[in-house]
Amino acid sequence: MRRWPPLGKLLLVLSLLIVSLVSTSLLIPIAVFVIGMVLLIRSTRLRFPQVISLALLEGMIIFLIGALIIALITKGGAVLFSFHILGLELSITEEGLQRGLQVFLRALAGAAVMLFFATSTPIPHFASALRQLRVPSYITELVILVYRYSFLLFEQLEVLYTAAQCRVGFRGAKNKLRTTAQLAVGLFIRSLEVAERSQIALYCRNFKGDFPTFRPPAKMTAAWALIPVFAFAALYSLNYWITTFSYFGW
Amino acid sequence: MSPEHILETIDLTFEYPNKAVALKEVSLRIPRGKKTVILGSNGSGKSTLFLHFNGVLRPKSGEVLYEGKRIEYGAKALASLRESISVVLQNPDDQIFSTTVEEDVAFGPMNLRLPMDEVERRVDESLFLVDLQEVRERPTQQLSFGQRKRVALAGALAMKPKVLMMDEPTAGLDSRMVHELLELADELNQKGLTVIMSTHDVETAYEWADEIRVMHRGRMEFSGLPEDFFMDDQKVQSLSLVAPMLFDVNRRLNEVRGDPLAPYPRTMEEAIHKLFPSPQAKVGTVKLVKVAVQPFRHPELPASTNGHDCKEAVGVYGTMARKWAHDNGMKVDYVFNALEHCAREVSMGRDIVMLVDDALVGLVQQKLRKMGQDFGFHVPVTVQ
Repeated sequence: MRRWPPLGKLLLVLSLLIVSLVSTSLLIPIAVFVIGMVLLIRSTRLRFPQVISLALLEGMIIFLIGALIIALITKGGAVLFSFHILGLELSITEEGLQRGLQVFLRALAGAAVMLFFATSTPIPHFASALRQLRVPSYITELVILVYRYSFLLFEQLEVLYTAAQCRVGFRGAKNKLRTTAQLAVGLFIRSLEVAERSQIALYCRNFKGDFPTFRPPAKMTAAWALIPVFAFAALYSLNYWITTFSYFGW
Repeated sequence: MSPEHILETIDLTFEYPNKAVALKEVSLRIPRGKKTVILGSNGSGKSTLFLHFNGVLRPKSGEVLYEGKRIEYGAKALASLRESISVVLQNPDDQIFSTTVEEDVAFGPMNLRLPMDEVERRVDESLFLVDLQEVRERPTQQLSFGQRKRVALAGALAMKPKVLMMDEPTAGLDSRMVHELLELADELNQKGLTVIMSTHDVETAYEWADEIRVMHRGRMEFSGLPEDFFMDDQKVQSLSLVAPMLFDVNRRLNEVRGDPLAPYPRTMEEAIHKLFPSPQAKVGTVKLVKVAVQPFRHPELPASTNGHDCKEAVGVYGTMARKWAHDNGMKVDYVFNALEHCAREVSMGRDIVMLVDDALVGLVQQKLRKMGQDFGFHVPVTVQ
C-alpha cells in the first residue's frame, strides 16, 4: 500500500470521511469503519505498532464518553431510559440515542481510515501529496519538521520525566502538579534550543526552503482520481437507498 | 595566504546577540590535506569558529578565507562554500531532519540540485563508508545514538566536501565506535580530504592530530604540533587542560631517569617500545592483504591468502576490509584499533594478517615504518 499514490490515498480518505459525515444512515459510518479496518489490517499486516493500538483504545474510550454525553443532552422522542444522579434527572431519549450512536460511529470510522492513511503513508509521501494539492510549501515543511521533532521532544520529555522521578519530583499531589508544570516549561525551552540548533544545521546542509523527496512516491493516475469519487458515490447512494426504501430506517 | 593553507581567519571577532563575545581576534591557518584538531575546554569557542568556516555565522570584524579568498555571503557563494566545507554537528539529532536514513543522507546533495543518479551514487557511497547500508530505509528515530552519529557523518560526506569539520565527534560514542571513526577520518584524509575535529579530549587530540590549534575563552592560544603545546605545563593548566597520559609518562621518565624526550610516543605500543625496549629474539611478521575493490562491491580476497582458514591472528583496517570480513563471515580477531594490536602481536613473536583497504596500505606501511625509525621496533611487512 506504500506503493499507492499518496494523493490518491489522501483523496480516498477524505471522500470516506466526508461521506461518513454527510450520511444520515448509521450503516454508512459502519461501512466506512469496516473499509478503514480492512485497509488498516492490510497495511499493517496485523502487526499494529503499540502506538496505533493505544490510539485506537484511547479513541474508543474518548468517543464513548463523548457519545454518552451527547446522548444525555440531546432531547426528543420517547424516553428510553432515565436515572437520578446528585439530584439531577438524566434521561436518554430516542433521538439522543440516535445522535450519540451516530457521533460514536462517525468518530470510529474516521479514526480507522485516518490510521490506515498514517500507517501506509510515510511523511515524505504525505508531503508530496500536499505539494500536489498546492498546499503552501511552508505548511508542508512545517508538517515534516513537526513530525520529526515530535519524536525528539518526546525523547526529551522522557529524559526530563526520569530526572524528575529520580529526585522524587512526583511525591504528593502538589509536588506532582509543580513538577509537571516545570517539565512543560523545560520542554518548551528545550524545543526553542532545538529549533535554533536545527536552523543552523539546515543552513550547513544548504537548505533552500523546501525538503526535497529522495524516493518520490507513485504518481497520481486517472484511476486513482476516480476511486475516491466512486467510493463517495457508492456510499452516498447506499445512504439514500437505506433512508428512502429500507424497512429498518437505519 | 600560502596555497598549503585551505582555511584561514584573520583577527576574527564574533559576539552573540546577547553581547557575549565568543571569538576575540582569532587568527589561524588550517593546513590543506592534514588532520587538525581544534582543542579547547567547554565554551572556548570551537563550535562558533566552525560555523564561521562555512558561513553560517558572520564575523563582527575580521576575515575568513577559504582557498585564499575572502568568503562571500551571497546565496550562491554560500551554497558553493557549504558544498566544499561540510560540518558534522556534535548532536546528530540537530542535524537529522528526514524520516529515513537514505532520505537524510540525500538531503544535502538534493539541495545542491544534483541529478538523481549522482545523488543515488553519493548516498550509496556515503552509507557504505559509515556501514549503514543495511538500515538505509529505517526511520531515523529508531536508530541508536551511535547509528545516528553515523547518519550525520554520511550526510556530510554525501556533499563530497574538500574539508570535513567534525564538532566533538567522539562525544557519547563507545570505544569501538571512537576507533572506527578515527580510522575513517584517517581514511578520508588519506584520500585527500582536509579533516578538522574539535574536541576537549586531549588523549584523542594527541594520538590523532597532525597539528593542533588550542582555544580558550574565544582566543586562539596555540598553533602547532601537539608536543610543543603539552610541553608547556603551565600554559596547559592555565587553559583548563591536562597533558595526555602518554606524553606525561614520557616527560616524567625524562625528568626522573634522564631518558630523551624525543621521539614522543603517541600510541601505547610506541610508548612500550620506547620506554621498555626488549631485544625480542623472534619478531612476527605482518602480512598486509590488500582489499582491492570496485567501489561499493564486495572485495575479493586474493587467492594467495588462506582466506577463511587463517591460522594467524587477523585484523582489519579500513571500511571495505571490515565489510568484506563481515560479509564473508571471516573470523576477525581485531575489528578496530587493529594497528595497535598488530604491533603487539608482532612484538610477541606472532604473525598477523591485516586486511587493509587498497587506498590505506601506504598509510599502514608508513605507520609501521615509523615504529622502526622512531622507536627501534622494526616490523617485517609483506604486502599481497
